[in-house]
Amino acid sequence: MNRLYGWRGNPIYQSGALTVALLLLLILTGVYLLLFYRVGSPYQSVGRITDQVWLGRWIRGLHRYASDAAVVAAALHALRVYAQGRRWGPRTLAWISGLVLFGLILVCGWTGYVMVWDTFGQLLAVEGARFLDLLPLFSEPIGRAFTGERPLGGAFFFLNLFLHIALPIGLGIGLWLHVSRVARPVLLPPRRLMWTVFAVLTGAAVLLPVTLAPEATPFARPERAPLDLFYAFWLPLTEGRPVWSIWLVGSALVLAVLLVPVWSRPAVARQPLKSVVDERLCTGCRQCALDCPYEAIEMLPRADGRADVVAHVTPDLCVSCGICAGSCAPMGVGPPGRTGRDQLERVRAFVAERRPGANDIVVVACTRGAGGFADSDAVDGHPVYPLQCAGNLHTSVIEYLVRAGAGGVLVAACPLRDCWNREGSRWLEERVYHEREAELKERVDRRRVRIAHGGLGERARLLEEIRQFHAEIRQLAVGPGEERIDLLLLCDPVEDP
Amino acid sequence: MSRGLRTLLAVAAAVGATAALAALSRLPYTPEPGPEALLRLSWRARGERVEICRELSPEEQQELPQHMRQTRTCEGTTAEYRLRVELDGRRRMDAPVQGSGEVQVRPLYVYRELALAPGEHRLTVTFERVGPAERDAEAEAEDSEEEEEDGEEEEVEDGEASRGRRAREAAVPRRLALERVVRLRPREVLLVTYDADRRELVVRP
Repeated sequence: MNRLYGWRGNPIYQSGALTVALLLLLILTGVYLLLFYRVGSPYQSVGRITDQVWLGRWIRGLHRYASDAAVVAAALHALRVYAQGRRWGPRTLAWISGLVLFGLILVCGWTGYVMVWDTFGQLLAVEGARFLDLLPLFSEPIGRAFTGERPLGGAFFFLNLFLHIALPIGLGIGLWLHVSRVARPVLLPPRRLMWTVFAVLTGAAVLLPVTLAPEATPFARPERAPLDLFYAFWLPLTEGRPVWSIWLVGSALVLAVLLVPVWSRPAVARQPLKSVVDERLCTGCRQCALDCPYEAIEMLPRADGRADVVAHVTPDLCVSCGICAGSCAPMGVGPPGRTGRDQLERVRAFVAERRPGANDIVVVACTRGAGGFADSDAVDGHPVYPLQCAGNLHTSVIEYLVRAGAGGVLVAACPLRDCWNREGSRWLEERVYHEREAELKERVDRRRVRIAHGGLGERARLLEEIRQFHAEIRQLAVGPGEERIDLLLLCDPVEDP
Repeated sequence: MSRGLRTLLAVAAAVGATAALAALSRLPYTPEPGPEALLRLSWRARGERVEICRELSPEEQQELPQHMRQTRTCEGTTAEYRLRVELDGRRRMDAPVQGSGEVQVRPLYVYRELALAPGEHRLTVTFERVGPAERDAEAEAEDSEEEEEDGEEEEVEDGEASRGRRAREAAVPRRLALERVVRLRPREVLLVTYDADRRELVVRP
């Protein structure tokens, strides 16, 4: 995907934001359709819309295809989040609310099909009534509404229309909850991708117009119905089966997916440690609170008599991404073992062991993407320094490597929209190139530093970048490596209380 | 990969994905394939209320608040019915039907479906009340006797009698029967329902 569309246009990276964009498109097209829909004659009114060759037909087609695409995008988003392991601990709320949102989208589509009242809508209505009649909710079996005893009244279609309109309001509330624990949620994809998707769907609506199936009738079993697999994938599985067994299997499946945060979380001993703050080192600069993608850090008044504020990590919100470690110039915050100071200790040991020379590039590789380099000891002869997330990297590590005599440092990070910790790659770039706090010091020769973005499947392209960078490094004059480097002295001094 | 080839592949992938999306959104589907027709029995009716009444003793009346004191108390439920379906002389269904609700005092609902081969069939549907006919006869006789009695003291009981008669009249008849030869096309649905105005079982369409 990245090869074809680049990381900015990769729809998998943007699946969540694409879902929101498609829902907005559904609201827009839905408002137009609502102007012509009649609860008193649903099928005929949809027929009239379909007969409007210039506008109605393609808007109805766009509404349909956008709804299908929304299901695909939402499912991709859920699968991606699952595969990345972002599904337990502080992310539980997002996982559960996401599933509820997905369910609401499916129910919304269900009511949308019933609104048309063709053979497919009738199938969905009858099957839905069959499911609901098992619950002790109604005073009489609602399935009897579709038997043909009496004409299906406008009240039914009004209720259905009400649900079709009210559910998107629920989607809005659910979406707010879904992103409530992240800072700076990205709700829309890049414009170019969004408009391309809209244009492609419009093209489909014009070239492959949505037709109208025969009108529903209670006095015949339909010979054929156009099945929308995205909304009725379950229909071929449930038809004719006992309702109790459908409830049993369905409930078990839903429960299993809802409980993913419980059954898929690692054992306590294997869970990464949450960030902690060394209050003696914290200067109260607020950068860690600004950078934290999960709003897990707040600034509180100091209790030690010193002026200003001190960072405080809320453990229930911290996902242990370690981005705060990279954002703290005095190295006073981060998960134990991954703070700036810990990183410096580790890089010292690394240099002592691997002794990178002037012709070497140290490849600092994110363990989660970046061509999978982190699993190797060396890439193309260059030593690899693995790192849990590029956003975790303190710029002092880069400086240390350069000053220790390495020809260059290439940080292989995940694509900006594919960072498992949302903003790790972005903050790293800003720290190296745009002087974001905890920036790479000016004295470091930028020609010897490179950031390359790539997913797991982009090994070949990243290798090419490494080779190109290596060729550039060889053109540079060789400087002597420093023997004793104490970067801690270079950090902002902190007064001892 | 050259830029041109990459663009071509990107467009082809987008077109392919969209075509797949459009195709999967309208897969031809035959629900429960097969030519079988369907006999659907569906109606709602008020079942006959069965009451067991007795006189309250003076002591029992004393225990009640003054404004609720009556000489007679009745506990009731809805009578049970039996639904039988015969097709071409063969019994295909024989099921009890009771009033809905926890204590079975709500209306009766019938909602059953039977698959049957297309073609001509002799259909017999009966829906009749189950229970001691003697009690019904007694109740009717009691009602009419009470109605014949004169005097102001009897007015309350007279009211009860006419209520009982009206309830019986509003209820579904004690026996409903439908006998008909029906011709069904493949996958046709034949509905048998109760017409409350005509007080009989009817066939639709």
